[in-house]
Amino acid sequence: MLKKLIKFTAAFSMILLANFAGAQDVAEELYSRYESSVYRVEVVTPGVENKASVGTGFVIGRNDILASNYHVISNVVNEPDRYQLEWEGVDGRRGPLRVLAVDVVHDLAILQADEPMGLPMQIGDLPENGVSLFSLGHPLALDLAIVSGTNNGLQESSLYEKILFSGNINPGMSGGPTLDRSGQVVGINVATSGEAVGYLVPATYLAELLAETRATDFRPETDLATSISNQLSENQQSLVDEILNNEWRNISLGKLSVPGRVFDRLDCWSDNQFEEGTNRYTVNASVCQGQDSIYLSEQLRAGAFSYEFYWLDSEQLSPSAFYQIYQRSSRSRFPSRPSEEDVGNFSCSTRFILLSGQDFKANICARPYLEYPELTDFMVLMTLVGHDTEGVIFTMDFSTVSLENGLAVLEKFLGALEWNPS
Amino acid sequence: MESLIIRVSKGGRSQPVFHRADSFPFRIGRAYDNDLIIADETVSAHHLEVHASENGFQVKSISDENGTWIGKEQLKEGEHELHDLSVPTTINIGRTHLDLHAAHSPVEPTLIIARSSRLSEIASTIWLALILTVAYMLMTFYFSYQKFSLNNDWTEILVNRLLYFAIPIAIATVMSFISRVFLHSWRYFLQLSLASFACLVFILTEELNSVISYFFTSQSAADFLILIFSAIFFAWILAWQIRAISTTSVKRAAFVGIGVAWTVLGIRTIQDIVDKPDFSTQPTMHNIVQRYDIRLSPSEESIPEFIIDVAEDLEAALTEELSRDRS
Repeated sequence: MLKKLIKFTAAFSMILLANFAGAQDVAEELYSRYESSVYRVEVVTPGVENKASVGTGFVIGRNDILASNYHVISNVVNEPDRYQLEWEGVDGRRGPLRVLAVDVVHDLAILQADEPMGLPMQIGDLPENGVSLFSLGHPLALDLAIVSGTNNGLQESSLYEKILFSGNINPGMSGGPTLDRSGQVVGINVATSGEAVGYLVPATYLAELLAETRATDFRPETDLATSISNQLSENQQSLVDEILNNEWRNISLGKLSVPGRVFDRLDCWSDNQFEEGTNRYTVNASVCQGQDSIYLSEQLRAGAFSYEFYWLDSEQLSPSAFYQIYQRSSRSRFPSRPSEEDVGNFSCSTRFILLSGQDFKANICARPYLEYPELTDFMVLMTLVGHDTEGVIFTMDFSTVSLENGLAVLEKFLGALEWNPS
Repeated sequence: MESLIIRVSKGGRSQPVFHRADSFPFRIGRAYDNDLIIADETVSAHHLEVHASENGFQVKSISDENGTWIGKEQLKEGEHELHDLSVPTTINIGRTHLDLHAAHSPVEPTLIIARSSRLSEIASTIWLALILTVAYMLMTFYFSYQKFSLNNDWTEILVNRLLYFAIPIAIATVMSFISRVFLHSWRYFLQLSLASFACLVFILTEELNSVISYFFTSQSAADFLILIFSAIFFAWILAWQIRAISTTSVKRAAFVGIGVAWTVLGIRTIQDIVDKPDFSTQPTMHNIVQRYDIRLSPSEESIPEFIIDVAEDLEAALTEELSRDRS
């Protein structure tokens, strides 16, 4: 058994080595070709030594235009009076940068320098899964590094399209390009979740944003706040349209039939026959959530969507004991925690409604975004009442959605609930 | 000749003693050959003489040791002369007060003993005291059992709640002691009835709170009604408690009861208003779920109607929130 394992490991590491050896030649070539087209992008406070944030940017489209992530430069957009944007080359040269346009939904930014910055990179199509890709950037704000890894295609269960990249992307490499063998940009480094799990923004979105900027002859967007507001509005609208137009399939949960996955890009799991304590009541849960959200500022995330159904029942507990547990289980928490400067307070509407012959108590809450008055954080907590030792808790959290759209999604949920004892 | 009434008293709670002076001169002092012997070491052996005159009484100090005061005026040292007295008056010798009255002076009207109310009589019976105490203990146990609903072991709950069971007994004991001091009577069962009743109502208010909040689907409605209820009930029980440990009149007890209860509730209410955070990252959800569906009529609304109602609620609230932040 041990022998077999050693053999297997040896073979496995050989494949890895062989692969790496092949990739190394390409990496060397790509590094030397684009070394002078990739820059460190820094957010600085005038008169203060420390940088507020550091990322990577690369020349694209024209020799004075740089692309990066929105989250790298968000401080400059949110507090233009306090922060400034600068580039720094591998040779130590520095210069100022301007924000031309942003795409917050896909976490992209187009920046402009005062002088020619080098050879613009080209945008290419995403190759097949399994193909080697090369990611450039300044990991942890260190010197330029190239990281090789493989393309795993578009991530299935993410609300906002991302390429899954098996390679070590580190903080600081955000905004850097990921290239295919021929040196074309196929993605922009955006996030990492642990060892060799990296995420890239598909380069097609950069191409779109670049085309828009080119159409205005690279004139800076005059009102970035309005532009961001429009992007968020459009995004939630298309998300809601997709949710509402999708055909929902119900799953059974206890004595209810509830919507399962309401659209494809959600991550859903169920936790059945979950037993607590001395096995005196059972919980059946169905939880669906979007894996990602939109970065707006350090404490502010937009466009998150999740919903949960918890069915509780007990054969051993007395009704009052059951309701004690039921009450405690219904503490819903809103996932995002923005500050007082971003949002107003929650307001709630508490009502009863008869659904499929059953009484439900509903708490529906919303708070407005001060910057985007059309958008709200929308939160639903509903519980089945009137049964001695069974109940269901339904929660739905939707951030940066219009009230109208939040309610439209809720309405469809309410219509889909069915009492189905059998 | 009219006689003079002398009321002898010392500081503290000692009972005064009355003497009638019929023959004059009337001598007062610590020595045994005086007409009025005073047991006070600060009084001289022969201290004072009272004389009768044609138009009243006169007094003469015969001592130079600790002095003599008539009203607020001290008699001059070494001046052993007669002074006219206008009764009623007060003479101080040493630490002793002498109140002098003419024998024909009228006395205060008789204090009529306040009869205890029918309710107090019932509350003073051992049976009511025991019933209320046991009811309180059972309620406490029942609520605890619900709280620890996953714990089967009732003995553990019993031990855990032992301190709570003892609360009315402790209060009643303390009140009994106070009653013993003021009224010279323990009245233990009355105290126990009162303490148990107050504790019982207190824990039932919590339950009442959730029922009301469910009935109105609003926590603020429950808070308001509970506040009104507490203002009436606790003022009343406090007034009753004051009456149970003292001879205070109904009016004064009610005044004190209302004064104390409303002040405490007022402070609590102000605290609630002041403590309320301006901003919270979580909604304050009205999340009390009740088994008993006691609403007057079940909702007949269709889903679209329901959504329209919620939209109206929230649109108004959001507009208000935004305008508040803008200003």
